[in-house]
Amino acid sequence: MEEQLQQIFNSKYKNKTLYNHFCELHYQMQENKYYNAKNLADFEDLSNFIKENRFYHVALKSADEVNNLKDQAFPWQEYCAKLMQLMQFKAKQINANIQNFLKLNTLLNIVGYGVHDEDAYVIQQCLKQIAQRDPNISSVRFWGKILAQQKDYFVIEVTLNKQIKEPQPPDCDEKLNEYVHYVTQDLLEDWALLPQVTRNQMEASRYITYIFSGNLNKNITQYPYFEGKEKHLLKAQILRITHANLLAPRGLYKYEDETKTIGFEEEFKMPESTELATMDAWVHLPAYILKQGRITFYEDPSLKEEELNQMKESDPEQERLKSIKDDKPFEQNDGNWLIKIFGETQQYTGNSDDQQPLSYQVVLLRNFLWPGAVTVSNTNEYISVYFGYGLKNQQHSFNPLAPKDVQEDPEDIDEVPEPNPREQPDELEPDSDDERRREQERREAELQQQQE
Amino acid sequence: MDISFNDLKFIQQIGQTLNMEERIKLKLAILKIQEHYTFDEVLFWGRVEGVEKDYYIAMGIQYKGQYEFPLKKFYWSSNNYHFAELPKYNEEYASRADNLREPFTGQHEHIVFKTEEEINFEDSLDIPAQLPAKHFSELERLSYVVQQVEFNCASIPVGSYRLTPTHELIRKAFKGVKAELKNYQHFRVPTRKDKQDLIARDEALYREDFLDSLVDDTPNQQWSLQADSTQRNITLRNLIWPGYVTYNNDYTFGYAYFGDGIKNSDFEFLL
Repeated sequence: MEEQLQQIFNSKYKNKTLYNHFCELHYQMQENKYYNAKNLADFEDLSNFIKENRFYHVALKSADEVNNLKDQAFPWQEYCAKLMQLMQFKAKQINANIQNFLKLNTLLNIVGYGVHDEDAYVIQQCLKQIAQRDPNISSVRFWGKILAQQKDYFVIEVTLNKQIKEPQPPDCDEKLNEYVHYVTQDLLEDWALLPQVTRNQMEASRYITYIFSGNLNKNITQYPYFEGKEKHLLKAQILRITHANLLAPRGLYKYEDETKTIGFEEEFKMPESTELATMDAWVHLPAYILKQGRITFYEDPSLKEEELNQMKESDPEQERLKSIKDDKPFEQNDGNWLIKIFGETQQYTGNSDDQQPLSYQVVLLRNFLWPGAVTVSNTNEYISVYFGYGLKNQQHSFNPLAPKDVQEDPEDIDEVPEPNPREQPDELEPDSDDERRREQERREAELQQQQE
Repeated sequence: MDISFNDLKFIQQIGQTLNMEERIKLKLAILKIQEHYTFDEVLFWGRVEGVEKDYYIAMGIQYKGQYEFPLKKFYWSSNNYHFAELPKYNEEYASRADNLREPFTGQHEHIVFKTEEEINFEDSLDIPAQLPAKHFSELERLSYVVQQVEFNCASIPVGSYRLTPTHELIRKAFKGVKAELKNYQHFRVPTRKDKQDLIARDEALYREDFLDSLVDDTPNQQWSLQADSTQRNITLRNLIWPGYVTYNNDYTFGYAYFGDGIKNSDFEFLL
């Protein structure tokens, strides 16, 4: 006990031991005539006073500092924990077809697009995680990034084995919702499923140009009226971009008219890279979306046949697996796609004659109408992504759609003064046609008499 | 952006990057600029995408001996990676150039629009010669775009530069800033009255935010400030000139433009 006390007294702070401090305190308490100790607080005050004057004062920490020690912890701690968790994610068995985004990203980097390697690794882990979420998933791919005002959206596209039947109005197309999308704003956080889109929303989204704010539940106040929140508009835009830009090499898929499905061709060999650099070699994989907001035309039973036929003519369906050569050309360019070749363009011919010449070049196909949508390919693999704000390339200044005409007032009915029984009218209205005729005859007879 | 290209990961947040060939050739080409004109710093400014070819822009900055704001000189090159000085654009057609929406073709002699210039030879005794009208070429359009982006967008974080008593700008040891718009300022000669007054009174020597602040830019929503998952890598993007990025983290800062050179004039309608 003695020893412990001795130890405490000998504890030093800035060359002053506690024992010395107590001696000082004691001295001051006796000598200082201004000191009137009423309680322990006064004692503390004296102690602090002595410390300050002898220049070994230590300020007490405020309550905030003591309570919030967590904030002073390593600021990256949360980030590292989440990243570690993601990296250690191992799936037992995945029955889905997952894109090898880590490898394909290097392909994107060769042409000047793509994400950083570290991000690509995180995205690959996310792809695996999403495949685990739903046993129905048949394929997963990284769709791209939609840039927004406050926080960007990363998007992953998924195709399912079996469609989820969600209650939808009767004029919606099931086939339109074939591709399912997950979004997140931070790669280390959870991914949210985007809702299915209705025909009305799809139709309205064609006329809206809007930069996404970053808040999925924001109400869209634009003209024409879009019924839905930002997540519905986001889904509609993503669908439009996918259906316009997802390409596949010709011959990989085949379209069966009877069952109206797309299947893989039995024998497919990726064409040579010189051939890949032409528009002939690529086809659109998803179907074309009509102006109506569907893939197949909807015959509204309430509309007449002529109207329907007129609508059908202005909104024709297009064939599946259409070549990109037939896309509407953008301005003065021939076609809608810009094709560039990167990398090593040297052709290597093997020793035997029947071997195709090998080339390591990389082909980039860029869409003019949707700037930011690219498809990149070399002789072994290909990838389509989108990086952008989700806007079409507008060649004309934005012209807001004129609102519909205001209904005009109906025509006024003629006003006649109300009959008042106290006043005699200047002219008495005849009661019936016969009377009118008789009146008229009488008046004519009077006139004739006057003239005579 | 520094020509070691370590900072490309920030630009990759908008999905753009430079491939290996571009990086190597740009590094050599930019260093070559120093042969003719010595600058304190030569930086890679950005890439303007064109249909057939792209344009690469480099910027040389001279700090020493410049009163109030350093001198910036711009150089351009096409896919041949040979930098030449960017000529001045004809100011009369600036407003027409502002509204152009066609993509750059990549051919710098391409005529963007024809101009009519009247050449008066009243004072001349000689027979007036037929001077070919100097049309507005794509190179001038490029020059205009670069100047506009630099004036409207180029920004740096607060605390990165200081004004010396001789009114020269010097770079400070940069420690990082929080992700707020008020922590960024324009990297140009101050145009706003309050900052000009600060500098005139010499108070700017003691302050970190002596250049025009981004908070006073109208419309305010044109700036999009985002941080990635680490919360330390911050990118500041401009929505009127999509493709422009100012970035910083705790160690470095910089800015670059990777885009198609077309201004988003409808921006106010898209919110």
